Amino acid sequence: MTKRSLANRSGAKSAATKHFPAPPPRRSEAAPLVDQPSAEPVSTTLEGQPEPRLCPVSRRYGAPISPVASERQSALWQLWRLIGMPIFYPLFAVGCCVGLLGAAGIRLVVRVPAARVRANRRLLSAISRQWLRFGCWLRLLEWEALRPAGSDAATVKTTDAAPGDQTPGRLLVANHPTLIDILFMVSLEPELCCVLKADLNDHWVFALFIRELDYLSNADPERLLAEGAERLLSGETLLVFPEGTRTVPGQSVSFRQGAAALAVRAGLPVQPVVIEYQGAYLSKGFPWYALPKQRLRYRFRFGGPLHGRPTASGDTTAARSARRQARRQLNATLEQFMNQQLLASTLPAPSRTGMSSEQPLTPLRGADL
Amino acid sequence: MKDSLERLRRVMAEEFELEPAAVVPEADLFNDLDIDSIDAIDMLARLRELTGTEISAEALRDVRTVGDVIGLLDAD
Repeated sequence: MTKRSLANRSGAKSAATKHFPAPPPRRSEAAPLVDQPSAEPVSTTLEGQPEPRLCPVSRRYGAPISPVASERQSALWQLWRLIGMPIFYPLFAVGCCVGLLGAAGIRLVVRVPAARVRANRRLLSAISRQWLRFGCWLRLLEWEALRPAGSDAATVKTTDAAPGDQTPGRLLVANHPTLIDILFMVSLEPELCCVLKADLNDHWVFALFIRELDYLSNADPERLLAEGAERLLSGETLLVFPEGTRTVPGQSVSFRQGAAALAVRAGLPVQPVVIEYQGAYLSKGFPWYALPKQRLRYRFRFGGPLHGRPTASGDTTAARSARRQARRQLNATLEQFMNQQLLASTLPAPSRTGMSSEQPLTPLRGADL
Repeated sequence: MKDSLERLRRVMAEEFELEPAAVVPEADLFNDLDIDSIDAIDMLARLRELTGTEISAEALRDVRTVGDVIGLLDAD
């Protein structure tokens, strides 16, 4: 199935909203294509820790972000958003209904529980993708995902082809600016397993979804760690938002320890995903139905794997203490990395990171995703 | 109460190298003793082994101070 790429074009002039009150000066055009953390003095707790980095990117997904935010000045767009947004948002509820019907169908046809879960996840992924496509088509949304080679859906498909393959999954760790981050993530990772906060289990609709998709809940942290590590090692790709909730707009991110603990326990690296988002709509403190005054702009940048310090396994006091230190260090590094990357966000300007001229960028095609 | 505090002190000393004197009922686990949520899970596992009490991780959510942990131990 080949689908056309969704291109969004936009005119001139800009009034960019920044994530943070005091963004750093922009780097020059000669800045390296691979982002490096700025040369701040690294605290001693980070000693011996590999530098986190963003990989050079060879593939690009989503619709390209227009270099400027012109719609604030555009009377036509301002009129359009009043019609378009009320079409776009509720359409997701329609998507959910389709999903529930689909899940019921899958239940009838697929008898193996593991296969059923995978089918349900792929269904959610497809629905999210179509919804996001529609948002782009309506000119209400612009998003792009920059991913290093080898971490894209094609690779995921290859691992699918070999059942029983015990290649460990990846542990994706992302910041959480808005309500719908997870929809982008599942559309990029078709069989993603997400870790959701326990509150969501209280609502019957979410509870139903979570059960059918076999997502993990943080209600019982002990179980989450054990089960999460087990799933990672059996090849599932996990997504954790270590902030535990959405970021308060304008504030730096602060990570809880769970994601790092999971990585240390499974002995696997984490893959940071920097979610750049412009504006405050769908953020914490804004009702979901508030109509944004400008396009929703997202950029997803997948980082290279970040390894924690290797630790001995075993259940001795010394081993536990070593794991504890490795976890705290990894978490501190991740948090620092994430904040540096977010401060350096150039939205809505095109990303310089990873836009390597040597490697041709492939625009979005439905078949790729 | 006294018993639980002693047990907790022993666990804290072994696991986190904390001075027994620092482990008082008023001490805040997160701010005063530098124990984070994951440490708290390890701590519970130790306490379970040591005392045989079943403490759920759910109960851990509301725990803030050493006194709260003792409360959990004694409630069982």
